[in-house]
Amino acid sequence: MDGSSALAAVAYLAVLMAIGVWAWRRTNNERDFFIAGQRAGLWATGLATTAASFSSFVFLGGPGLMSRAGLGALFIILPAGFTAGLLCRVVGGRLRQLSGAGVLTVPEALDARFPGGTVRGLAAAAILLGVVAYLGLQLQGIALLLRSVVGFANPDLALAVGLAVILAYSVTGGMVAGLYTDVFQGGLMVVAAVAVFLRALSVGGGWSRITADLAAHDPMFLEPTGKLPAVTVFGFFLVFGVGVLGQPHLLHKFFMIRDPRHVRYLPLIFGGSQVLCLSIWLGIGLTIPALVATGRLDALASPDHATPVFLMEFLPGAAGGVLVAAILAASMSTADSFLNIGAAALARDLPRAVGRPLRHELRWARAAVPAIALVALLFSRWYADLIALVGTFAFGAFAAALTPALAVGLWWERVTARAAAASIVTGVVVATLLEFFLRDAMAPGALPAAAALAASFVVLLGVSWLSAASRSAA
Amino acid sequence: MRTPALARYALLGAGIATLVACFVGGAPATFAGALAAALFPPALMLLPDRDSRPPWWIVAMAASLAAGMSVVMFWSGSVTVAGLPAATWVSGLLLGAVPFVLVLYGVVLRGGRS
Repeated sequence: MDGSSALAAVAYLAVLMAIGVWAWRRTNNERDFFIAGQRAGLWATGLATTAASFSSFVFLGGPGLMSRAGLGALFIILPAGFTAGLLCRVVGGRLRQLSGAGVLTVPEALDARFPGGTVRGLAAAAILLGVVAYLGLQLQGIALLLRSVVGFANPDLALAVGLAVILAYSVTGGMVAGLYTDVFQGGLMVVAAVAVFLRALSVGGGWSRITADLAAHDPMFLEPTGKLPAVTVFGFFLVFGVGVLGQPHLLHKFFMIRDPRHVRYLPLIFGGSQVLCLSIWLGIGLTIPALVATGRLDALASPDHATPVFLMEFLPGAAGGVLVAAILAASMSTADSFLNIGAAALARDLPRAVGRPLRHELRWARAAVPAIALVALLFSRWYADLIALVGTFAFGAFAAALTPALAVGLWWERVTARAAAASIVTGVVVATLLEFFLRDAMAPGALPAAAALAASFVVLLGVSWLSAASRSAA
Repeated sequence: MRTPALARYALLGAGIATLVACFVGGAPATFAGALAAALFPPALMLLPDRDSRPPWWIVAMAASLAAGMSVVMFWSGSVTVAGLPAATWVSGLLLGAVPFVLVLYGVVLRGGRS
């Protein structure tokens, strides 16, 4: 990498630190630390939610997956057209309403609906497990990028620097820092994605030339499901289209909105910025395979190299630096969101679920942030090979565990605490069993997360109906 | 049947169809799974509704997604338009662009009303 990329990365990290210092002075209580004092406006919430929702997978893994699997990979991002609206209509308004009654976290929202502590405790435990896995994956990505861009020879040093910056602003500024760093990072991601998309079209010779080249050399690439089985692409559509309702780092943003009326307009900002951000997936994902197919670029050593190769070959100087900063932003914005909700689960939800709230919650929450980061760090170091699988699994596990209890439970009065608890346990257990132990039991290409999500819905509805029937019979 | 009840039955049916597609495999089960994936989002959208009839924009969204999934299943190897097979263009519009417009209309402009 050239000096511009390293300079961009260092400048980017310096801006984050400055926001952390600024936020520190504005974090005085639990409400500030967990939900940024509920002072977020429409644009801030929209951009911050986009930043939190997209990890480095959108910039690195997504174009790589498309290079390997063709347009079938688009089924992960096609639902972006409606997920923002779905999120706002089905759970966003309700969560914002509950925050007016003092609710600060997703497990606490479930407790308001299903009192007793069991559902809250299960949700918090599921969130903590997912946070460690997902955070570990993000830390690995940050370390990899810092190593290749800034030139750290020692992987542990790269990991330590990335983690130190995130911790510095997450511990001091809590969600105030998380929110405003996410706004900066979301804006950066959108600008970089659109610029790279336009550059990719130009490099490939325009939309018609790119697709004509692919049609001539690799026609399967352009079919609706690409080179993937139909059951895989439908699974993508379901898990990423519906599972978004169970992602705690996104749901948490609704607690921060200053004016509840803004929830209605959020799909414009959140959905619009997501669509713009995803243009990079399409641009690099189409252009690199077209260049390789026509011999204008050497074959990639691995499909995951699509974005780095594009960066090195076609984005020299400052433009490449902006893309590097945007990829770092994607990882770090997701990581800080997870640190915050993990701290809330550990310092607020689990103690309250067992009836023992902590006396100095803010102090404990600040202490929980580095503790969670340390566990994620050790996890990512000891299970380096396993963590990509576990990190990917975490999205599906969140979806399967929390989506039915939140989406149906917040609207249907007949859903019982027992049904919600059964649904959460079903989601986590089925996702784990199918992902790690019973994959062969599934049809070839089927996604464990899709089956776990469906099973969780069936259990929630089934147990609720059976509970009602038994009450009627009694 | 009131709209929220319709949504719950749709979710239960879609959940079972998805499980069958994931464990049984084969063309009929996969198609049922594809339709299930298309029905989940509009069914969830109906949960907050209190009217006796579902809002037209959610019905249109369900129709668009189901049509898009059907195109994906049954139409491939078609003629190309600007390099992309026609089936890809049509499925992309029905699964992505049309629902985007409908959701912006329904949620943002109408505030979720029928």
